[in-house]
Amino acid sequence: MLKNQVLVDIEKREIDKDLDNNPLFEIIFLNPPKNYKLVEILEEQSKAILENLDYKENEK
Amino acid sequence: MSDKVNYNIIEKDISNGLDNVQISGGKDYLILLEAPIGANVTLKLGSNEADAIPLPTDYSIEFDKTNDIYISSDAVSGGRIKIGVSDTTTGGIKIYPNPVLDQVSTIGEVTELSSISTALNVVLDKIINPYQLPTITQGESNSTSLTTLLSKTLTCDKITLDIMGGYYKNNAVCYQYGNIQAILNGKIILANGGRASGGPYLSTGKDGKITIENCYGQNLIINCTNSSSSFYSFFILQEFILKS
Repeated sequence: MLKNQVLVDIEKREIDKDLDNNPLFEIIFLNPPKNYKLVEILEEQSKAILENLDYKENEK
Repeated sequence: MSDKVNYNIIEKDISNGLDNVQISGGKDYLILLEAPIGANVTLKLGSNEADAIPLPTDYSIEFDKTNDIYISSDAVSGGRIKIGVSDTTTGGIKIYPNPVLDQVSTIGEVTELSSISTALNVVLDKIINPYQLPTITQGESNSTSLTTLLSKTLTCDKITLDIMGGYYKNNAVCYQYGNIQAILNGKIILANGGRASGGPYLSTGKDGKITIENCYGQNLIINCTNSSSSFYSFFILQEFILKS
Protein backbone atom coordinates (compact mmCIF):
# COMPACT_ATOMS: atom_id res chain seq x y z
CA MET A 1 0.00 0.00 0.00
CA LEU A 2 1.12 3.54 -0.71
CA LYS A 3 1.39 6.23 1.98
CA ASN A 4 -1.76 7.93 0.76
CA GLN A 5 -3.80 4.72 0.98
CA VAL A 6 -5.78 3.34 3.91
CA LEU A 7 -7.21 -0.11 4.61
CA VAL A 8 -10.82 -0.07 5.80
CA ASP A 9 -13.33 -2.74 6.76
CA ILE A 10 -16.27 -3.28 4.46
CA GLU A 11 -19.81 -4.38 5.10
CA LYS A 12 -21.93 -6.01 2.44
CA ARG A 13 -25.63 -5.23 2.71
CA GLU A 14 -28.45 -6.65 0.65
CA ILE A 15 -30.35 -3.68 -0.75
CA ASP A 16 -32.70 -5.15 -3.35
CA LYS A 17 -33.58 -8.09 -5.61
CA ASP A 18 -33.21 -8.18 -9.36
CA LEU A 19 -35.91 -9.33 -11.80
CA ASP A 20 -34.85 -12.96 -11.27
CA ASN A 21 -35.16 -12.48 -7.51
CA ASN A 22 -31.41 -12.66 -7.03
CA PRO A 23 -30.11 -10.44 -4.21
CA LEU A 24 -28.41 -7.14 -5.02
CA PHE A 25 -25.73 -6.00 -2.61
CA GLU A 26 -24.13 -2.74 -1.63
CA ILE A 27 -20.63 -2.46 -0.25
CA ILE A 28 -20.26 0.02 2.61
CA PHE A 29 -16.82 1.31 3.61
CA LEU A 30 -16.55 1.62 7.38
CA ASN A 31 -14.89 4.83 8.65
CA PRO A 32 -13.53 5.98 5.29
CA PRO A 33 -11.54 9.21 4.90
CA LYS A 34 -13.66 12.32 4.22
CA ASN A 35 -12.57 12.44 0.57
CA TYR A 36 -11.56 9.16 -1.01
CA LYS A 37 -11.22 7.09 -4.15
CA LEU A 38 -11.60 3.33 -4.28
CA VAL A 39 -8.38 1.52 -5.14
CA GLU A 40 -9.31 -2.13 -4.62
CA ILE A 41 -11.89 -4.27 -2.87
CA LEU A 42 -10.56 -7.33 -1.02
CA GLU A 43 -13.87 -9.16 -0.62
CA GLU A 44 -12.47 -12.36 0.88
CA GLN A 45 -10.90 -10.34 3.69
CA SER A 46 -13.87 -7.94 3.99
CA LYS A 47 -11.48 -5.03 3.44
CA ALA A 48 -10.97 -2.30 0.90
CA ILE A 49 -8.03 -0.10 0.00
CA LEU A 50 -9.02 3.55 -0.36
CA GLU A 51 -6.90 6.47 -1.50
CA ASN A 52 -7.16 9.39 0.92
CA LEU A 53 -7.53 12.37 -1.44
CA ASP A 54 -6.65 14.82 1.36
CA TYR A 55 -3.32 13.13 2.12
CA LYS A 56 -0.35 15.48 2.07
CA GLU A 57 3.19 14.08 2.06
CA ASN A 58 4.68 16.49 4.62
CA GLU A 59 1.90 16.12 7.19
CA LYS A 60 2.82 12.59 8.22
CA MET B 1 -26.04 88.73 -33.87
CA SER B 2 -22.48 89.70 -33.10
CA ASP B 3 -19.98 90.06 -35.94
CA LYS B 4 -17.18 89.16 -33.57
CA VAL B 5 -16.37 85.52 -33.01
CA ASN B 6 -14.98 84.99 -29.53
CA TYR B 7 -12.88 81.89 -29.10
CA ASN B 8 -9.32 80.71 -28.47
CA ILE B 9 -7.39 77.51 -29.16
CA ILE B 10 -4.67 76.93 -26.60
CA GLU B 11 -1.80 74.46 -26.82
CA LYS B 12 0.31 73.52 -23.81
CA ASP B 13 3.41 71.36 -23.48
CA ILE B 14 2.89 68.88 -20.63
CA SER B 15 6.33 67.31 -20.56
CA ASN B 16 6.59 68.48 -16.97
CA GLY B 17 2.87 68.40 -16.26
CA LEU B 18 0.66 71.39 -15.55
CA ASP B 19 -0.28 72.65 -12.11
CA ASN B 20 -3.20 75.10 -12.02
CA VAL B 21 -2.13 76.98 -15.14
CA GLN B 22 -4.55 79.84 -15.78
CA ILE B 23 -5.81 80.16 -19.34
CA SER B 24 -7.69 82.94 -21.12
CA GLY B 25 -10.71 84.07 -19.12
CA GLY B 26 -14.09 85.57 -19.88
CA LYS B 27 -15.29 82.30 -21.36
CA ASP B 28 -18.23 80.00 -20.66
CA TYR B 29 -17.36 76.95 -22.79
CA LEU B 30 -14.32 74.68 -22.87
CA ILE B 31 -13.42 71.50 -24.76
CA LEU B 32 -10.35 69.30 -24.49
CA LEU B 33 -9.50 68.67 -28.15
CA GLU B 34 -6.31 66.67 -27.84
CA ALA B 35 -4.44 65.01 -24.99
CA PRO B 36 -2.02 62.08 -24.88
CA ILE B 37 -2.84 58.93 -22.90
CA GLY B 38 -1.94 59.43 -19.27
CA ALA B 39 -2.38 63.21 -19.29
CA ASN B 40 -5.31 63.08 -16.83
CA VAL B 41 -6.34 66.66 -17.52
CA THR B 42 -8.41 68.40 -14.84
CA LEU B 43 -10.14 71.75 -14.77
CA LYS B 44 -10.88 74.22 -11.95
CA LEU B 45 -13.36 77.05 -12.37
CA GLY B 46 -13.67 80.27 -10.39
CA SER B 47 -10.66 79.57 -8.17
CA ASN B 48 -7.48 77.54 -8.24
CA GLU B 49 -8.67 76.00 -4.98
CA ALA B 50 -11.97 74.79 -6.40
CA ASP B 51 -12.68 71.10 -6.88
CA ALA B 52 -10.87 69.63 -9.87
CA ILE B 53 -13.13 68.42 -12.70
CA PRO B 54 -11.71 65.47 -14.67
CA LEU B 55 -11.78 66.21 -18.39
CA PRO B 56 -11.35 63.27 -20.83
CA THR B 57 -10.35 64.01 -24.42
CA ASP B 58 -13.22 65.29 -26.59
CA TYR B 59 -15.30 66.20 -23.55
CA SER B 60 -16.66 69.71 -23.36
CA ILE B 61 -18.13 71.68 -20.50
CA GLU B 62 -20.36 74.74 -20.26
CA PHE B 63 -20.36 77.02 -17.22
CA ASP B 64 -21.18 80.56 -16.07
CA LYS B 65 -18.73 82.97 -17.61
CA THR B 66 -15.57 83.32 -15.52
CA ASN B 67 -12.12 84.84 -15.76
CA ASP B 68 -10.59 82.12 -13.66
CA ILE B 69 -10.04 78.88 -15.58
CA TYR B 70 -7.20 76.65 -14.35
CA ILE B 71 -5.82 73.57 -16.08
CA SER B 72 -3.74 70.79 -14.52
CA SER B 73 -2.34 67.61 -16.01
CA ASP B 74 0.07 64.80 -15.32
CA ALA B 75 3.45 64.89 -17.04
CA VAL B 76 3.72 63.04 -20.35
CA SER B 77 7.14 63.18 -21.97
CA GLY B 78 6.90 65.17 -25.21
CA GLY B 79 3.13 65.43 -24.77
CA ARG B 80 0.92 68.39 -25.68
CA ILE B 81 -2.71 69.17 -24.97
CA LYS B 82 -4.99 71.34 -27.08
CA ILE B 83 -7.94 73.15 -25.52
CA GLY B 84 -10.69 75.22 -27.10
CA VAL B 85 -12.49 77.95 -25.13
CA SER B 86 -15.26 80.28 -26.15
CA ASP B 87 -17.69 82.92 -24.92
CA THR B 88 -20.87 81.59 -26.43
CA THR B 89 -22.93 84.62 -25.37
CA THR B 90 -20.93 87.06 -27.49
CA GLY B 91 -20.39 85.33 -30.78
CA GLY B 92 -18.63 82.26 -29.47
CA ILE B 93 -18.47 78.81 -30.92
CA LYS B 94 -19.01 75.26 -29.73
CA ILE B 95 -17.15 72.31 -31.14
CA TYR B 96 -19.07 69.02 -31.05
CA PRO B 97 -17.00 65.83 -30.91
CA ASN B 98 -17.52 63.33 -33.73
CA PRO B 99 -18.45 59.78 -32.83
CA VAL B 100 -15.49 57.72 -31.64
CA LEU B 101 -16.09 55.31 -34.55
CA ASP B 102 -14.04 57.62 -36.75
CA GLN B 103 -10.94 57.01 -34.65
CA VAL B 104 -10.52 53.42 -35.86
CA SER B 105 -11.40 53.23 -39.52
CA THR B 106 -10.47 49.60 -40.05
CA ILE B 107 -9.96 46.57 -37.86
CA GLY B 108 -6.62 46.16 -39.59
CA GLU B 109 -5.25 49.06 -37.60
CA VAL B 110 -5.12 46.81 -34.58
CA THR B 111 -2.39 44.79 -36.25
CA GLU B 112 -0.22 47.89 -36.22
CA LEU B 113 0.08 47.68 -32.44
CA SER B 114 3.75 47.18 -31.74
CA SER B 115 3.20 45.37 -28.47
CA ILE B 116 0.61 44.36 -25.90
CA SER B 117 1.25 45.22 -22.30
CA THR B 118 1.96 42.37 -19.89
CA ALA B 119 -1.12 43.26 -17.87
CA LEU B 120 -3.36 43.15 -20.96
CA ASN B 121 -1.78 39.85 -22.01
CA VAL B 122 -2.62 38.35 -18.63
CA VAL B 123 -6.22 39.58 -18.84
CA LEU B 124 -6.66 38.29 -22.41
CA ASP B 125 -5.18 34.92 -21.44
CA LYS B 126 -7.67 34.61 -18.57
CA ILE B 127 -10.56 35.39 -20.93
CA ILE B 128 -9.47 32.94 -23.63
CA ASN B 129 -8.24 30.18 -21.34
CA PRO B 130 -9.44 30.87 -17.78
CA TYR B 131 -8.42 27.59 -16.17
CA GLN B 132 -5.13 26.07 -15.09
CA LEU B 133 -4.19 22.61 -16.38
CA PRO B 134 -6.63 20.13 -14.82
CA THR B 135 -5.92 17.54 -12.16
CA ILE B 136 -7.02 14.19 -13.56
CA THR B 137 -8.33 11.32 -11.43
CA GLN B 138 -9.19 7.95 -12.91
CA GLY B 139 -10.92 5.05 -11.17
CA GLU B 140 -12.61 1.77 -11.97
CA SER B 141 -14.14 -1.28 -10.37
CA ASN B 142 -15.50 -4.68 -11.39
CA SER B 143 -17.44 -5.13 -8.17
CA THR B 144 -20.82 -6.80 -8.55
CA SER B 145 -22.09 -4.94 -5.48
CA LEU B 146 -23.09 -1.27 -5.53
CA THR B 147 -19.79 0.42 -4.77
CA THR B 148 -18.69 4.01 -4.26
CA LEU B 149 -15.74 4.65 -6.57
CA LEU B 150 -15.21 8.25 -5.45
CA SER B 151 -16.54 10.51 -2.72
CA LYS B 152 -15.17 14.01 -2.61
CA THR B 153 -15.98 17.58 -1.65
CA LEU B 154 -14.80 19.50 -4.70
CA THR B 155 -12.19 22.23 -4.24
CA CYS B 156 -12.06 23.24 -7.90
CA ASP B 157 -14.08 25.70 -10.03
CA LYS B 158 -15.08 23.36 -12.86
CA ILE B 159 -15.17 19.63 -13.52
CA THR B 160 -15.39 17.52 -16.62
CA LEU B 161 -16.54 14.00 -15.88
CA ASP B 162 -16.46 11.01 -18.22
CA ILE B 163 -18.09 7.77 -17.06
CA MET B 164 -18.81 4.40 -18.59
CA GLY B 165 -20.71 1.58 -16.99
CA GLY B 166 -19.85 -2.09 -17.09
CA TYR B 167 -17.73 -2.59 -20.16
CA TYR B 168 -16.13 -5.92 -21.03
CA LYS B 169 -12.56 -5.12 -20.27
CA ASN B 170 -10.65 -7.80 -22.15
CA ASN B 171 -12.26 -7.47 -25.51
CA ALA B 172 -11.53 -5.01 -28.25
CA VAL B 173 -15.25 -4.58 -28.85
CA CYS B 174 -16.91 -3.00 -25.86
CA TYR B 175 -19.91 -4.79 -24.41
CA GLN B 176 -21.78 -3.00 -21.65
CA TYR B 177 -23.35 -4.74 -18.72
CA GLY B 178 -23.34 -2.58 -15.64
CA ASN B 179 -24.26 0.83 -14.39
CA ILE B 180 -22.46 3.89 -13.12
CA GLN B 181 -23.87 7.11 -11.73
CA ALA B 182 -22.40 10.48 -10.78
CA ILE B 183 -24.20 12.28 -7.95
CA LEU B 184 -23.61 15.95 -7.16
CA ASN B 185 -25.01 17.21 -3.86
CA GLY B 186 -27.36 14.24 -3.72
CA LYS B 187 -28.70 14.59 -7.26
CA ILE B 188 -27.81 12.31 -10.15
CA ILE B 189 -26.13 14.43 -12.82
CA LEU B 190 -24.92 11.65 -15.13
CA ALA B 191 -25.63 7.95 -15.57
CA ASN B 192 -24.31 5.38 -17.99
CA GLY B 193 -24.50 1.66 -18.63
CA GLY B 194 -27.19 -0.92 -18.97
CA ARG B 195 -27.11 -4.12 -20.99
CA ALA B 196 -26.18 -3.46 -24.58
CA SER B 197 -28.56 -4.87 -27.13
CA GLY B 198 -27.45 -7.22 -29.90
CA GLY B 199 -25.50 -9.57 -27.72
CA PRO B 200 -21.83 -9.72 -26.89
CA TYR B 201 -19.14 -8.70 -29.34
CA LEU B 202 -21.60 -6.83 -31.56
CA SER B 203 -22.41 -3.78 -29.52
CA THR B 204 -20.14 -0.91 -28.73
CA GLY B 205 -20.36 0.91 -25.46
CA LYS B 206 -20.82 4.64 -25.27
CA ASP B 207 -19.51 6.82 -22.52
CA GLY B 208 -21.25 9.74 -20.81
CA LYS B 209 -19.69 13.16 -20.37
CA ILE B 210 -20.65 16.24 -18.43
CA THR B 211 -19.06 19.58 -17.57
CA ILE B 212 -20.09 21.47 -14.45
CA GLU B 213 -18.95 24.99 -13.64
CA ASN B 214 -19.05 26.83 -10.31
CA CYS B 215 -18.84 23.50 -8.48
CA TYR B 216 -16.56 24.58 -5.62
CA GLY B 217 -17.60 23.02 -2.30
CA GLN B 218 -20.11 20.59 -3.80
CA ASN B 219 -20.02 16.91 -2.93
CA LEU B 220 -19.38 14.48 -5.78
CA ILE B 221 -20.08 10.76 -5.44
CA ILE B 222 -19.59 8.16 -8.17
CA ASN B 223 -21.28 4.79 -7.65
CA CYS B 224 -21.23 1.69 -9.84
CA THR B 225 -22.29 -1.92 -10.00
CA ASN B 226 -21.52 -4.59 -12.57
CA SER B 227 -23.26 -7.78 -13.66
CA SER B 228 -20.17 -9.89 -13.17
CA SER B 229 -16.52 -9.37 -12.37
CA SER B 230 -15.76 -9.58 -16.10
CA PHE B 231 -17.20 -6.09 -16.43
CA TYR B 232 -15.59 -2.87 -15.30
CA SER B 233 -17.13 0.55 -14.79
CA PHE B 234 -14.79 3.50 -14.90
CA PHE B 235 -14.61 7.25 -14.62
CA ILE B 236 -12.19 10.01 -15.56
CA LEU B 237 -12.54 13.20 -13.55
CA GLN B 238 -10.82 16.43 -14.60
CA GLU B 239 -10.75 19.19 -11.99
CA PHE B 240 -10.06 22.74 -13.18
CA ILE B 241 -9.04 25.70 -11.04
CA LEU B 242 -9.36 29.28 -12.32
CA LYS B 243 -6.12 31.14 -12.96
CA SER B 244 -5.40 33.57 -10.14
